[in-house]
Amino acid sequence: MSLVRYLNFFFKNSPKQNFLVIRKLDDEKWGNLVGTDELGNKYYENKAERYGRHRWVLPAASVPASDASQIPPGWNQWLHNVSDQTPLMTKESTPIYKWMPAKHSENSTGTPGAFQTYNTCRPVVKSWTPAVLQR
Amino acid sequence: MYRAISTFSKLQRSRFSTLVPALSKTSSIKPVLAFKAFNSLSFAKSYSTKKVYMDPDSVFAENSVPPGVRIEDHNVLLEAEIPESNRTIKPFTLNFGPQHPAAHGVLRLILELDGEAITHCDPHIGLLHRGTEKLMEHKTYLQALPYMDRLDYCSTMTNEQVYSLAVEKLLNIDIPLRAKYIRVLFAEITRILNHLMSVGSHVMDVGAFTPFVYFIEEREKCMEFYERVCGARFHAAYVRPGGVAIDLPRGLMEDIYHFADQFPDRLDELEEIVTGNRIWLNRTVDIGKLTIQDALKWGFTGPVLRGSGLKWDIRKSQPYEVYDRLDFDIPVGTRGDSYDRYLVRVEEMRQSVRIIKQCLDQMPEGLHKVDDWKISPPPRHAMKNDMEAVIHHFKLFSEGYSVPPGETYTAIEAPKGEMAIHMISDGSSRPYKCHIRAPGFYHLGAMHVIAKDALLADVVALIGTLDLVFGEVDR
Amino acid sequence: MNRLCNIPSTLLSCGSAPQLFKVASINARTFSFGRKVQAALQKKNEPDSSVKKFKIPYQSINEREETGNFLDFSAKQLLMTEILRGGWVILEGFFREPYTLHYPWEKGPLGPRFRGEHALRRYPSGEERCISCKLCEAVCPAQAITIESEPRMDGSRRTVRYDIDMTKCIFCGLCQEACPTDAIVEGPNFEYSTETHEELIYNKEKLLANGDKWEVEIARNIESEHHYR
Repeated sequence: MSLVRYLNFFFKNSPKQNFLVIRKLDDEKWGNLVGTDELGNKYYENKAERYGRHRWVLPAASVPASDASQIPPGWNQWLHNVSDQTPLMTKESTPIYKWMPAKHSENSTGTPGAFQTYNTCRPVVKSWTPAVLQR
Repeated sequence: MYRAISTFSKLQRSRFSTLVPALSKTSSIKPVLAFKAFNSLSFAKSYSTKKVYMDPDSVFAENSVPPGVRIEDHNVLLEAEIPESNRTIKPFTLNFGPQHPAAHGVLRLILELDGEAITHCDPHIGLLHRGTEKLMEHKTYLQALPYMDRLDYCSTMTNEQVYSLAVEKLLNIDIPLRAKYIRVLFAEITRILNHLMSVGSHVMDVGAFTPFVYFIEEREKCMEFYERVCGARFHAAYVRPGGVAIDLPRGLMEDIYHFADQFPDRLDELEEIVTGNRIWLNRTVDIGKLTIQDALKWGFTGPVLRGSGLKWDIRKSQPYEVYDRLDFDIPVGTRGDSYDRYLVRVEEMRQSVRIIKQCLDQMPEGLHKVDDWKISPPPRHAMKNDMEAVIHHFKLFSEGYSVPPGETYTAIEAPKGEMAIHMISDGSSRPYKCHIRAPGFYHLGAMHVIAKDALLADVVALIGTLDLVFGEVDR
Repeated sequence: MNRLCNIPSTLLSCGSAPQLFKVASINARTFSFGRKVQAALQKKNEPDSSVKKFKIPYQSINEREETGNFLDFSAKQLLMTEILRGGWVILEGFFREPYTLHYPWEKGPLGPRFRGEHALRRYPSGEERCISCKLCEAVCPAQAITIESEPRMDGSRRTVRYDIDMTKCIFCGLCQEACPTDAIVEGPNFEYSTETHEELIYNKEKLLANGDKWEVEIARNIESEHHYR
């Protein structure tokens, strides 16, 4: 069955798409393009596939640079099957506030931008800096 | 278990003390006996006519001398003084675990081997001890609930259920019928989850990898139900004193029904692969036999006890929740070997499917938790609009509710056996004492009874058949 | 039962009447193709007790199957029927569509109740929701939350410190249940693994940044769950 599925998808896709899909997903996938997010990730759906495998993302990032946390919110929800609505469908009903980040950021651990915790309080005790008096 | 071992060694000592004079009379050379603290009786019997060295460096040497005998007397003879013909091999002591991949976690067994046969095995536990019982004394009744998840992490919701039942008994409240049905529904899903894990890993320990992989798939489906109903795949914190945390989401019951419909087919697959398989039969039939007397003596419960043939199931004998309204059977074994326990578990899964379907059919409407703001937090909309509700909300989540003074021993039929809480309340909002009776602890405590005279390779299969999870053994 | 195993009768009577139990009849199901034939043969040969009995690989708790028919026994042993039948199931599974997800690009289904990484939310105006009531700190069973508060310049009380030690957190969800303003929530994100322990000690700014980032999903999840809460 897997072989039939594989060959079927292989001949449905364009050669370029085949290259991308096999290179990036390690599997052959074919489906309708549902949308593209602001990072360039492409989201596909094929209802004929088994539930759970019927939605997937073709990442924009290269294979070594791609990461699971690159899916922006909204698309993440669609990909996790929490809702059937893509952000494209809910664009009007989703308010955008100015305090929301403009662009989705991935998990930055292991990079120079990794989160470093710090104290958000004013220090309770002030340290004493000894000043030397002129004699 | 510690008590069990100490009585055991006492038994040994009395045995040896009668043994020593008899030997010294009959043999021409003064014998040197190796008294090992944990030697079994059969060992003593089989070596009673032979002369055995005492190993002065043995860690057990000091404990091993029978009362009234000085250790120096046993070490007088050097190796050279004993003729070649009288020399025999000492029993081999083998350390199993705690990092053994088949030890189901952090089990450490000290095995005493006579050749390849096990003469005694001594479980060393406590490597996963987190002090749950003590911690719970410092938490409110609500806060202590998530700790119950971490006990038997293969069947989390039944742990919460027994805790909630104990608290409800102390509070002297009755919960809505819908809450009871939801609890039973998820308790049976939990039973399936647990038995899938235990049977799957048992089969895998013996050598068949494929059923385990199939079972992980089914487990995944069950854990998705968990996730949808409460937001976590394992550590649910769903069943609360007074009901359940949140009502079933729409569509979940339908999906559970679909699951229950297809699940017996997967069990058939398993049985096709495993049940009649000759390797499986050779590894399990008559391995780890346990009589009912032994099983009762050592506090066995659950599928292990039923595998031995005793018709004992708390769901039937002291029905809690709504089990008295449901129609299901309890499988009972006849021989008490590993194979019977396996069959009992498989059949229990089928019965669980029956119960799940009945729960889905009979699921009543109504509240999912008690409508008493002194015990269960008020709904969000009330909390936002009603001053009274805000006060209750704050009281519940900060101080918690006070439970009237009392003492209860509440037991349920958890998938592994009788899971019980002995809770003492002093009238404050924290339990005065909460003792957890975890079935795995007692099963492991009698490991030497089951493993007696088994071969070394069977130990792994026996651990699997006892269904040990170290979260609950060590707590 | 008593006669069989010498159990003190008190032990049995403390339970229930034995007739409550029905011993489940675990009859052979699909796999016992040869079994009916054997049973028929067995019936034929029944009375002859002098014949040596052979143990057939059995499938039932209740009856341990034996047969006096040497042919049955040896056929089953030599032809390895049960192994072949098991192998057939494995072969079926081999051709079945795999259940495995290719995780980073296909994700497993989640519910709106999922309890993942924590986030502090804001009101649409940008004002933080947390009013520093410290209920979450009080209810947290793992004591992972630390809160300090001060009056702000405009007189309202807000937290100056809201630290969550994510390595202590047990993700029980009690904080979000306790929060009267829906400020602290456990969001839908679980892909926040880090390389160091220090990165998991979240402070207020990190939690607010999480909230800003995931607000779209958090708000939608809360909205879809509002009937139940």
